[in-house]
Amino acid sequence: MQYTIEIDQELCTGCRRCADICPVGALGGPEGMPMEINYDKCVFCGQCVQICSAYQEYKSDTSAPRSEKMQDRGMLDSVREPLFAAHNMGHAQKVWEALKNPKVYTMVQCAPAVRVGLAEDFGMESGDLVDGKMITALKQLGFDKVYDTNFTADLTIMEEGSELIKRIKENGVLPMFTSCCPAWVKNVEQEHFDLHKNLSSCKSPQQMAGALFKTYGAQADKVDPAQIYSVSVMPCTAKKFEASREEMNSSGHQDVDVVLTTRELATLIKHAGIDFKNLPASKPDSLLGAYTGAGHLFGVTGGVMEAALRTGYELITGKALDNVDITDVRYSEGIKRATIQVGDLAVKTVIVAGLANAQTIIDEIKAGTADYHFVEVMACPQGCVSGGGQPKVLMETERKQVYSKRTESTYRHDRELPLRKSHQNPEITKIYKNFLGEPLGHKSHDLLHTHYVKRG
Amino acid sequence: MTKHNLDVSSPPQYKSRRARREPVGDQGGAKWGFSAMYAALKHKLDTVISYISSKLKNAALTKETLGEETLIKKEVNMEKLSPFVVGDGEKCIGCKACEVACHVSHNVTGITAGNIDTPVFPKLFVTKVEDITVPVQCHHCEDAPCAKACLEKAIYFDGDKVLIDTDKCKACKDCLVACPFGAVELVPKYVQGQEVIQANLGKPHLYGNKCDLCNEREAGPICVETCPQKALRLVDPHKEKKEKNKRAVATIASMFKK
Repeated sequence: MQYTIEIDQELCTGCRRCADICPVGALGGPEGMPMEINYDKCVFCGQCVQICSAYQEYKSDTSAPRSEKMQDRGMLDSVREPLFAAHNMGHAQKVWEALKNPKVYTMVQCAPAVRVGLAEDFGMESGDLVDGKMITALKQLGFDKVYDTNFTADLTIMEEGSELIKRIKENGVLPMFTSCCPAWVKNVEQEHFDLHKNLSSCKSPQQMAGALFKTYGAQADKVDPAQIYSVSVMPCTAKKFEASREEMNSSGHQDVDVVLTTRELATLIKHAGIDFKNLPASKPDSLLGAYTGAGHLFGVTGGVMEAALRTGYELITGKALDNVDITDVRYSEGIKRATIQVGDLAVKTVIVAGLANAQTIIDEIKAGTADYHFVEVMACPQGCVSGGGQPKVLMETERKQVYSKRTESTYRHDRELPLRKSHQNPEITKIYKNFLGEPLGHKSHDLLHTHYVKRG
Repeated sequence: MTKHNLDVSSPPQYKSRRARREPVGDQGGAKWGFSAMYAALKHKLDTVISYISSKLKNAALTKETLGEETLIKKEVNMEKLSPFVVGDGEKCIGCKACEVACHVSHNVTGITAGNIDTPVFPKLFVTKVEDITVPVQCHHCEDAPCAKACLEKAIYFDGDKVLIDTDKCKACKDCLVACPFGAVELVPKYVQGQEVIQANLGKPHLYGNKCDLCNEREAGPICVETCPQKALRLVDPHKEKKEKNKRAVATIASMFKK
């Protein structure tokens, strides 16, 4: 069996830098020997993939040929970059084949952080926003529909915001945990299953999109859902695991068929010979493509919280929120606590950046000392912009600055978008009116919410 | 210096081979006693030996004064010993981050792995022997055996760095043999991500690749900067020697304190 994340035993030098960075202590093994992954602990966040520098040497005589390894890793044969010991399973080959198959109707979605990272793999400046080029590239690759995870991020806010309000009003389980980070969700299922009811029942934006592609999208495009090949592009390696979860089939089919990382999308674009740098911009397809600044903020730590507060404020108070920049929840460097006044209610929030930092909050909850309403946890150090599937920064000395630039780019895009509150997204209004009914309604429950299972 | 000037000592005044065989004057061979013959032979032998050795000495001097004048000057000036990067085997964890950084700094535009479109060709080599791992790299030797071995004169001193002119390099491997550390590697040339093949030979175009102390980089060697364990440092040998001397004095001084 192949796992989402693996350590190539032939290439690993046993330097243990991955073990130092692993937030869940899943990497270990004897001193000086290649590292091994404990899959009962691993959450597939891919931080080890980002830090690993043990590459396969040119014409190495101590490891299997590069071509063989690339095949094993599901990489396209045109890939030139070095192979490192810590790596994720690739699916670009599969997507390439699907794109060439005329019988398959391909739909694609891209997460917020992809568009602030992708440029780097084409030699452009870090943090360059390439939303338009990315959409054009996907269309040139031949995807039949190019939708956007940012749309379902807005949708997540509608569902998750409503869920939070309901929990507060009805004395439900608090604090509520965000559930869009699949590494965090897997960690709760493995290590803290007694707290699984704290997790929002909302699916992640990726899985909401997947469920809608093969229902709402299929209806709109008059396509048999069985023919749809649903692809998502994520800054994340754990999303591959999330998409493969058995219960993620509420459309009647596997909701997301395959997940590519940002890096894999770059290899696919290069494989097709597309001159990415010089592409014109285009917009995602409608119905499942429009987004607001709030949805885009999901790419950074504190982003889900800020987006939820922007909408929550207006839903609770019925008043317009004038200053949408809720800076108190931004730039968490581990644990950031903030109390936000929403009408009469003082909403107590915590923003956790980096999965290892969640332990402190979990300890507080278990000790009964936590009085928080809403806890956002992102497994990666600065949220999805620093995800395990993002372009791999080569110099450790540059990493922090690159991540900051991706973050700044995310906030800039939010500022420049005409709409910055999820509930103002016209396609959100449309999908509730024409398909879903209302937030937390029957159809939402079937398609957009999930349950959790004990693991490990 | 002209060739004429080289012959500072006079060669022994012997005649042509034919003439030497002939008896000289009255002193016919038959008339010579054993001791006289021995003395004459010894004298001749000594003369020849002295001539040859003086010639050799001159030849050596000439080579150095002519071709490697700057090298001699450098040896005299102790303040200017070439710096070099050295790894600490106690600290190095073998992560190869230095190798990656080295390749990237010299060859890659762009900051992420997706920008690497050739194999990785570092100029230092993380090497493991038993429990010790440490990168091996050029020492920028003061007498640069690689440079001496290079028939193409492609290896040269630029200030205090030993560098390779890769355009001149013919990949003859003499520098590889000459280098006591194995610090030089022959690597294939790539242009715009494509390997350059020598058309007439059907073989890759190779060139010598070794540490250049990040000659083009103002901040100095990137490996030193990148190492997550701070296991690499740029050694200034003379400065370090002086500092050690001072430390030694400090130690000795404490012995005499009352």
